[in-house]
Amino acid sequence: MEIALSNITHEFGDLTALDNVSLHAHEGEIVAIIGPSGCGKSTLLGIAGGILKPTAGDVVLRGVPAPDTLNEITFIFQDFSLLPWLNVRDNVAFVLKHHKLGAAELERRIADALERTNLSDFAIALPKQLSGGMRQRVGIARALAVRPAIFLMDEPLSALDAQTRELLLDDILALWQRDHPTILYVTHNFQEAIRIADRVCVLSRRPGRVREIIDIPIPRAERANPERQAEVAKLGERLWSLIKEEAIVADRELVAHV
Amino acid sequence: MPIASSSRMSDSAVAKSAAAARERKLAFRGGGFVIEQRTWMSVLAFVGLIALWQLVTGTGLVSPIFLPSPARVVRALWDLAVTGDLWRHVSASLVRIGYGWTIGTLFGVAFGLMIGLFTVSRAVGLPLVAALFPIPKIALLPLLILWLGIGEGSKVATIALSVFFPSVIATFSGVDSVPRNLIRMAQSFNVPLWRIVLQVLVPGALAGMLAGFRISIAAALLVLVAAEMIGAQYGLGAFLILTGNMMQTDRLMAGVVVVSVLGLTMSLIVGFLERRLLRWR
Repeated sequence: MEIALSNITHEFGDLTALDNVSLHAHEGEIVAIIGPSGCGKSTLLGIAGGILKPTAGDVVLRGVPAPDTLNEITFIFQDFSLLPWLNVRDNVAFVLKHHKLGAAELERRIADALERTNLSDFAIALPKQLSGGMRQRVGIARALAVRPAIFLMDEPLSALDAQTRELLLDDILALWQRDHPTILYVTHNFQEAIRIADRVCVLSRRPGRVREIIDIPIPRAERANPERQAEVAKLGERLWSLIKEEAIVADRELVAHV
Repeated sequence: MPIASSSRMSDSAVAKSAAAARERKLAFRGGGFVIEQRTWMSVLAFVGLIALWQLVTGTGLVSPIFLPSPARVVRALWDLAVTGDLWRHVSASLVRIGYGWTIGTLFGVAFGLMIGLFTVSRAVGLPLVAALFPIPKIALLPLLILWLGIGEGSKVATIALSVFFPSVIATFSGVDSVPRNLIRMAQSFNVPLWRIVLQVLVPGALAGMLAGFRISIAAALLVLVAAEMIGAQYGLGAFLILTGNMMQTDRLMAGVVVVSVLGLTMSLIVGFLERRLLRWR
C-alpha cells in the first residue's frame, strides 16, 4: 500500500510544529524522516497513523492490503508501549482479540509473530523481565501479528544501547526483506537512515518543513560493504550538513513554554 | 620544598610523593535513605505500649474508671464474645459497612472513570466533586433520615456517600496517571473503547484505586461508628455510646479495640490485593 501525506500543518497553540508538509511512500518503499530534535517528526508520524489530528492537511492511503491484514497501518514506538501488566503473549493477543479470529487463528498468529521475533521462549515473561531490545522485539511482534501493509516506526531504536541497535536494525531489515511492507521510519540518526531507507526526507526545525528529499542510490544489501563506504560517508556528510546548523540552534533552545 | 636543596628527585617524583602523602580512604557517603524492614521493632513498639498501659493502670496510678487495664479490657472482650453480644454488634456493623462501602465504591469508580475519560464529564463532574467532597457526610445523616427513615437505609447511604468521593478522586487520578502513549497504542490498533477501559485504564489505574480503597475504608469506618452512635440498637457505634453512658470503660475499650482490629483487617486485605494484583510492577 501507499501512503501520502499532503499539505500537513500542525499547530500547538501559537506554535507551528509542522508547516505544509507533503510526503509520500510508494508500495514497499522505506522512507526515513530525519531532522533535529523538536522538528515535529514524531508529530508527523502520529498524524500519518491517525493518532494525532492535524490542524490542516490529509493522509491518504492507496491500494488494497493483503486479505489477512487486520490493521493496515501500524506503529512501532520508541518507548515500546507495552502493557506492563500483561506478559509477552498477552501483549500480542491484546491487539488481536477484538478481531474475533477464532482460537486457532489467534494462537497461530501469536505463535508466528513470536517465532519471527525469536520470542517463543519468552511468551510468559513480563515486560519488566526483558531487556530493552527484547521489549522492542515484543513491539515488533505485536505489529507483525496484525499483518500490516504499512509500518510507522517512531525512532524504534533510540531507547536502546548501540549493540542492541545494530541487532534490531538487522531484524527490521529482515522483516522488510520478507514481505516488503511500506515503512515510514522516523529517526534522528542519519547513519540509521542511510542504512535502511530508499529515500531520506530531511525536515527543518520549527516550523517543520520538508527541506530536502535525498535518494540513497546504493542497493540496501551493499550498504555495509567496505567498498561502498566512501559513498555512504559522502551521503552521511550531506545529511549532516543539512541538519547540523539547525541541530545547533535546537540544542540551545528551551524545549517548552512555561 | 626548597629548590636550593637540589635533591636528586625529579619534579615528577616530587609530585608523586606529594600525591601519596595525601592518599586517604573515601568515606561512604550514604545510600539514599533506603528504608529496611525491622519487624522486631514494630512488635516491640506494640508490646511496649501495652506494657506501659498495664504498668500505669495495674499499679493504681490511674483509676480504672478513666482507663481500665489491658487485662480487664481482654476480660471484657472475652465476656462479650462468650455471651454473643460481640457478634451481634459486629455483624450489624459489617452488614452496614459492607453495603455502604460496596455501593459507594461501585458508583465512585464508575464516576471516576467517566471523569478520567471524557472532557464533558470532567468539566461537569470535577467542580461538583470538589464542592461536595469536603462536606462531612455525617452532617447529612439527619437529612438522609428524613428521606430514607431511621432504619438501615440512611446509615448505608451516609457510608456510601463518604466512600463515593474518595473513590471518585482516586479513580480519576489513577486514570490520569496511565501513560497516554499506551492509550494511543491501543487506539492505533483500533482496539474498541470498552476494551481500552478494561484492559488499559483499569489495570493502569489500579494502584491509585487500591490506595484510594485504604482511605475510603477508613472513611467508611468513621462514618459507620458515628451513624450508629446517633440511632442504632446494634452495631459497634451503638455499643460504644451505650457503654460510655454507663461508664463501663472496660467494655468501651473492648469496643474500641474491635473497631481498630476491623480497620486493620480491612487494610490487610487491601495490602494482600496490592501484592497480588500489582505483581507486574
